[in-house]
Order: sequence, then structure tokens, then C-alpha cells
Amino acid sequence: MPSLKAIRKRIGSVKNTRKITRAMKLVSGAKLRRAQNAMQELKPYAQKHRDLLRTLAAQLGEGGEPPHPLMQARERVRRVAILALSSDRGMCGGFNAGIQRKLDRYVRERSSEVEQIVVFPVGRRIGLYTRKGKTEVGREFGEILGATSNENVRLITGTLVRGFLEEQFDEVLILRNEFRSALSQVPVIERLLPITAETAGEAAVEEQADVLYEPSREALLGYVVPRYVEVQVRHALLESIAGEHAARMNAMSNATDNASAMIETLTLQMNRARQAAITKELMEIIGGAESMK
Amino acid sequence: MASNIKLEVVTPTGAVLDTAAEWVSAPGIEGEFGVLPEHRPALVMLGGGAVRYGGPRGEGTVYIRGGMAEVGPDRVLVLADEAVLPGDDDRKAAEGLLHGVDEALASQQFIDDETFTRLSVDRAFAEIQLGRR
Repeated sequence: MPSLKAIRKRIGSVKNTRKITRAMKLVSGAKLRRAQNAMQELKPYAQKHRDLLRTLAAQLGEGGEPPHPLMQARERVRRVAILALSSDRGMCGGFNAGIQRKLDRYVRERSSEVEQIVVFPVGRRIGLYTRKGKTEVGREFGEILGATSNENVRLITGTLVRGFLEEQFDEVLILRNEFRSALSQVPVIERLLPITAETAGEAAVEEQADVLYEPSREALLGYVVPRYVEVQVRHALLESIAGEHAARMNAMSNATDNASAMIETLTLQMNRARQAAITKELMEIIGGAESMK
Repeated sequence: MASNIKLEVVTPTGAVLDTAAEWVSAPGIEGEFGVLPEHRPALVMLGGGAVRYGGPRGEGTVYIRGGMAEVGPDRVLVLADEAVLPGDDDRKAAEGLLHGVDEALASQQFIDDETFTRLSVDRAFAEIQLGRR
């Protein structure tokens, strides 16, 4: 049995750990709320872009030809780009491990049909992981925290769109944690490019009569389509960030509970050790007194 | 007759303005245009500059950096890439943006149409905030 002093020291250290995890939980909670707000604020903008895309694409795509190069599906998919999102820091449970597993599984499953899979990591964790792995890494976009600024979203989207248009890739996917709720984040892979009829929605929008287009429908579609991709990327980033904070909040909440449980056990142990020490001392005194008789 | 226009300015980072107006004027990519109630439905690409509006409660301005406007008989919806209200504008950011535009123009010999449009939208957005327009 460890000494009384050693147990006291351990309790002290576990208490300190609990202070840290509790603080981290509170901080993550506040950040989660902010991230959710950002998601909420993007919503009307995103919704409107989806509607406009549907309307414009439906009108232009009547001839059977896809109305925009980014909506053109390639006959044979040879090269795939994956934009993989993770967090920058750990301490968030299985958040990053899930992404890594999903990436590995996907690469294993698809590697027989496609010639090349290139990963574009956003977030330090996945960046470190892909650097060690066997998959080819395209451009690294650094940390996810700064990635939601206008400039960075444009940079990421621009790189992927250019790659797609120049036929470096035939398909562009996003791998990220889907924010189902504050308790559940699930790694998913979604297609970003080409934009297909399902993603853009069927032509359910009836044409408004007599709408003035300036400068032209084609030009407007040319503006809306890349913006739509940008919105998708931004949404994925925000969702991943919200998921990260939620995951960290849960992880830290569990850690705090575990620390409390451990403190309880240790306190019990400490009391027992103290009791034992007292008993031992008494026994010694009694023993000494007996022998004096 | 609808006597009022509902003017909304929305950006990826949230709604900037939601107000009633009697008239709206906005910087189209091919020139400034005005909207009065009962306007014909239109979709217009926007450049950089100021969206101005006037109503019963006076006049107002929002600076926008490119985007698109959906015009209906009783509403104008501006989807801007970025928008700031006067007073919230950041001179430093605007100067930085302007500097970036100048540098981009100076460093390239050939500029395609798309880049040129984007740069001129950025320039207009920066200049209007600095009061040079």
C-alpha cells in the first residue's frame, strides 16, 4: 500500500487535472455556441444560392448538355481529390481518429478502380497523419481555425476548382465530421465536384416569367456555380469546427467525471491508510506498555 | 400597389441589413441601377460599391464587395460576398485590400477577364470605404 503522503500528492495532482479539464469543457462549450451561430448565419445565404443554382441550371440545361463545366460528370473517374478536415489539436476523443480511419478505408476500397487519390488536408492533425501515410498529399492548407476567412475559403475552393477544370482530378470529395448533434459527430465523405443533378436538386423550380438577367443567364450561372462550391466548402469547415468543439466538450466532460471518480477512490484509500497508520501506532504503544509490566 | 421595398443584404457571415425602403440603388457589374416598387423581376450581378436606399426613416448606405441581387416587385435581396455598414468599416483593411489590388495589377503582365473583374470589384469596395468615390 502506498504511503499516506504519496496518496495525498496524487489526490492533489488529480484535482489539478480536474480543474484543467473542467475549464477546457467550459471553453469548448462557449466555442461550440459560437461555431453553431456561424453555421446558422451561413444558412440563408447558402439556401438562396442553392435555389438560384437550381433555377438557372434548369433553364440552361434543357438541351441535355450540362450548363456549366463544374456540373459535367466525367465518364471515367481516374483521379480523385479528397479535401480532408480535422482539428488542429487533440483532446477531443475519437474526432480525428474517425477521420483517419475513414480516409484509410476509402483509399483501400477505391485504390483498385482509380489511378490516383490526392489528399488535401485542412487541420494540423490530419496534416501530420497524411504526411506519414502512403497517400499522396496535394497542397496543405494549414490549420482549420484560420481556414474560414474569406481569403482562405477562396484559396481552398480555387485550388480544387482549378484542379477539376484542368482535369487534374475527375472528382473532388470532402471528408469531414458531420455535426449530427452536440453528442454525435460522424465522419462522412461527400462529393463536392462535379455538382450533379441530385446535389443541385431536380428542376423543380418553375420559371418566373419575364425575368431580366444582367449581364446574361450564362454569366450569372458562371458566378453562382463557383460561389455554390465555396458555400459548400465553408459549410463543411464550419460544421467540422462545431463538431470539434462538441467532441472536445464531451471528452473533457468525461475526463472531469473520471477525475472525480478517481479522487473518490483515492480519498477512500487515503483514509484507510491513515486508519492503518493510527492503528499501527496504537498497537505499538500498547505493545510497549505491555512489555513494561 | 406595393409602396415599400423590403431590402435585405445577406453575406456568408450573416445578414447585414433588413429594412423597408422606398427606393434602392445598387452597383451592378455593368453600372449603377435603381429600383422602385413594382420593378420587373431581375437577377443582376453586382460589382463593388455602395448600395443606397431611402425610406420613411431617412436614407442609408451599405458597402458591398461583389455579389448578386434578386429584384422583385416588393423586395430586393442582395447576396454580397462581403458587406459593411458605414461606421463599421475598417480603414486599415480597406487600405490593405487596395494595396493588394495594386500589387496584383503591377505583378502580372497578362490578366484574364475574370481576375480583372474581381480586382476592380475589390478596388471599388476599398475605395468607397476610404471615401475616394
